[in-house]
Amino acid sequence: MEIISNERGTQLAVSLKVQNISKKYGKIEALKNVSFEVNPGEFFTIFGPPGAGKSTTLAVIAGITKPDDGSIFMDDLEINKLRPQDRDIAMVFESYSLYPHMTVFENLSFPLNSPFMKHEFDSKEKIKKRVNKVAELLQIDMLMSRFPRMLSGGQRQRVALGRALVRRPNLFLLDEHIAHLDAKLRYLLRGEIKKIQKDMEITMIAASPSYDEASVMSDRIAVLFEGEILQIGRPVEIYEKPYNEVIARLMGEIPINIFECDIKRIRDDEFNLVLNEQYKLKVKNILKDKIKKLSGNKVKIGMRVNDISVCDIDSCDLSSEVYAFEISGYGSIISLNFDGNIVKLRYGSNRRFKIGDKLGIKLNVNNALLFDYKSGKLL
Amino acid sequence: MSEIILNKVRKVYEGNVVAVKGLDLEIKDGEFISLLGPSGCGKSSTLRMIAGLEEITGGEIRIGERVVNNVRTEDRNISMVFEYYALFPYLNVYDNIAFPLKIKKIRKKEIDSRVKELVKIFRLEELLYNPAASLSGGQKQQVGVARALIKKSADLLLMDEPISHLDMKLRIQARTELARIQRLAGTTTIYVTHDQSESLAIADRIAVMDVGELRQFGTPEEIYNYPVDTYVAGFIGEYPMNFFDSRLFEENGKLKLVIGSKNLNLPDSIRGRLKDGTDKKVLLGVRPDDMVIHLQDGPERLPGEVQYCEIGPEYSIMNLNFESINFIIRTEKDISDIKDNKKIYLELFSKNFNLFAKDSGKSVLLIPDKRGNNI
Repeated sequence: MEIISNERGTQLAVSLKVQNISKKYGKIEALKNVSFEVNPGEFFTIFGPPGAGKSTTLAVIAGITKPDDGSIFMDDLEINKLRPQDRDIAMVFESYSLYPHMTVFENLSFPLNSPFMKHEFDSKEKIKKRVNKVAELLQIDMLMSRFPRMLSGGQRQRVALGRALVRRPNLFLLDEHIAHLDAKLRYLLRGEIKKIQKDMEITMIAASPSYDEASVMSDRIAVLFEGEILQIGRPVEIYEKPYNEVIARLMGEIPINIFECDIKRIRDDEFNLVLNEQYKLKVKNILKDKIKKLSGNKVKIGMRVNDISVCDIDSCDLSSEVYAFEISGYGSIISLNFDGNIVKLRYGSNRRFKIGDKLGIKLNVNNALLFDYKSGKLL
Repeated sequence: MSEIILNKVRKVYEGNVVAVKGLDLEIKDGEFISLLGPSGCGKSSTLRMIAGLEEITGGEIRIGERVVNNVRTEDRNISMVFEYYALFPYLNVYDNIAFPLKIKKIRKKEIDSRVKELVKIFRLEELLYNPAASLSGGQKQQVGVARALIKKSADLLLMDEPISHLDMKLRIQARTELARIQRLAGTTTIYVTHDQSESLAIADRIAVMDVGELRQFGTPEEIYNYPVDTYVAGFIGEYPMNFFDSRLFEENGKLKLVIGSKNLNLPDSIRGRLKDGTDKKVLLGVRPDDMVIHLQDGPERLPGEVQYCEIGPEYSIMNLNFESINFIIRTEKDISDIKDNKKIYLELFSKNFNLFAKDSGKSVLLIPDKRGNNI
């Protein structure tokens, strides 16, 4: 397959700087002082739950929505005042918005017919060549004469993607681009988008509520929550060192287990994390230094599903009853009930459990995250 | 509570559109069954025929002792939950859940104790007197299921994609609750979904459907580990199963597989599961989780050229290439050291694998009779 990267010639991928952007809708603050920088050729994802302000952020960058405050720079050029069509940004929306009365070819070639592209695409031949190349790359070249209504969801999504790609824009925005496709297709398209982005060296900014997608596709992610950027970094960094409890809960396919506990000193160098009278956890090794300073306090402790393992009742850290049991292909997910706190863990064997079965667990306390009880900040 | 039997059930819509083609299904009393398949596979039509919302074109549906083909929906004694919960927005949680009993004029005291029992299971106690309109999507869904469960005497609970429009986090939470509640309630349940991970998580047995036909009916472990054909193999699993064009043959009493230029010995344990002879074109199917990575070549290892990697905090995905065959592996190991390697070597047979006939797509291996046997 021919790659279309080198056609950019000497033109390099752009950087983007978003500075102190705020946006209000009536009384609702959709964006609060949002700032971040995206490097040239980077895959950057704005990650957050529904309603966090992800789409508003993209709309502001594209120029569709006017911010109340703040500025945006593309390379060193401030683009706030530029009209959307002058920003040379391509955007793919969640709903594909293809022209229903046009064939796939007509949809794909549409952007090249614009007066802005005339200087480069002055003949039908040139347009055709370009469209064919992109269609091949996205494997929709056999669908050229069909209308959107004759396509499956995945195919429509590819056409929408292709229409944005034919222009070779400076910056590419993807708004929950593949969220409503079925899982298999999503996976395939995800790989394709990532590959095209790397091959063409495009700066790409995506918005996604999916942890899975954000973490494997992105070079860096910005965690957006209620209009505020909470943390920016590589996915692994944020996963291992989330600034606070809110971020920790967002990172992970199965949400992290968080329980409240008191820290009690038993002897000089021995501490207990006390969930309640029934459930106590002895702390050794690495956490001890942190815990020492906190003795007598309440904290929240976060344990990922992968850091809890099943063990014999005699030698376990904690034991309780099975609350629910789910098979997940390569093993299962067990939920345990600790006095109303539901703790989930991954279990990589074929053994089945029933609701009410007694089960012991061991916690890999070295990987635990400790959060301040009041502020929720990582300790 | 009852067993459900479908005998050669057919559904043909106007214009001779065949939605369900002679479906046979036996559901045991108290079982949680999932009808699974892509849109258009006939799963919803099947459910609607069981519910009596759709006429049965041919065949017979039995609930308990009774053939229900000509029984009206309201007389079938079933409860239903649909994708859109259809709560009464201005009624509070309590009244929404109590509704099916109220219209039956059941004593207030009895209704009260039943509602209280259910809200406790669903942990909705604090929301009891909030109007339905004020609840989150996940909470509404729970109220919908609680309402379906309140008719204790219902023979059958039918659910059609009840949680598919919730966001990911809520869906995982709701899935756990559903699996638990059905087991506690013990009502025979048929659950329609297109989401294979949901089916695996909560069903006792899964019926995988494709264009109106049943492809496989089995436990989640059977369906995941021993799919009967390439269709089921490809549909189940979060990441697509890898297929390798190959030839199965026997040489000097050893079972062998040729993939491209590579000649690999199959483990002897597979012999007992072979349906019939060797020397045929097959597709080797291996899940992305079931390959073992090595940095050095060795016996029975397939070399893979690394195309590109997606590295995540919990697991990573490597896209590989062997002589024009593309495949992926998923690993929870840290691959940051090896992602720039040009080549890695893979054991294909050390965990689970499948062999399908190249022409028909059907598995050439028997499903082991007990879990853990043979493999």
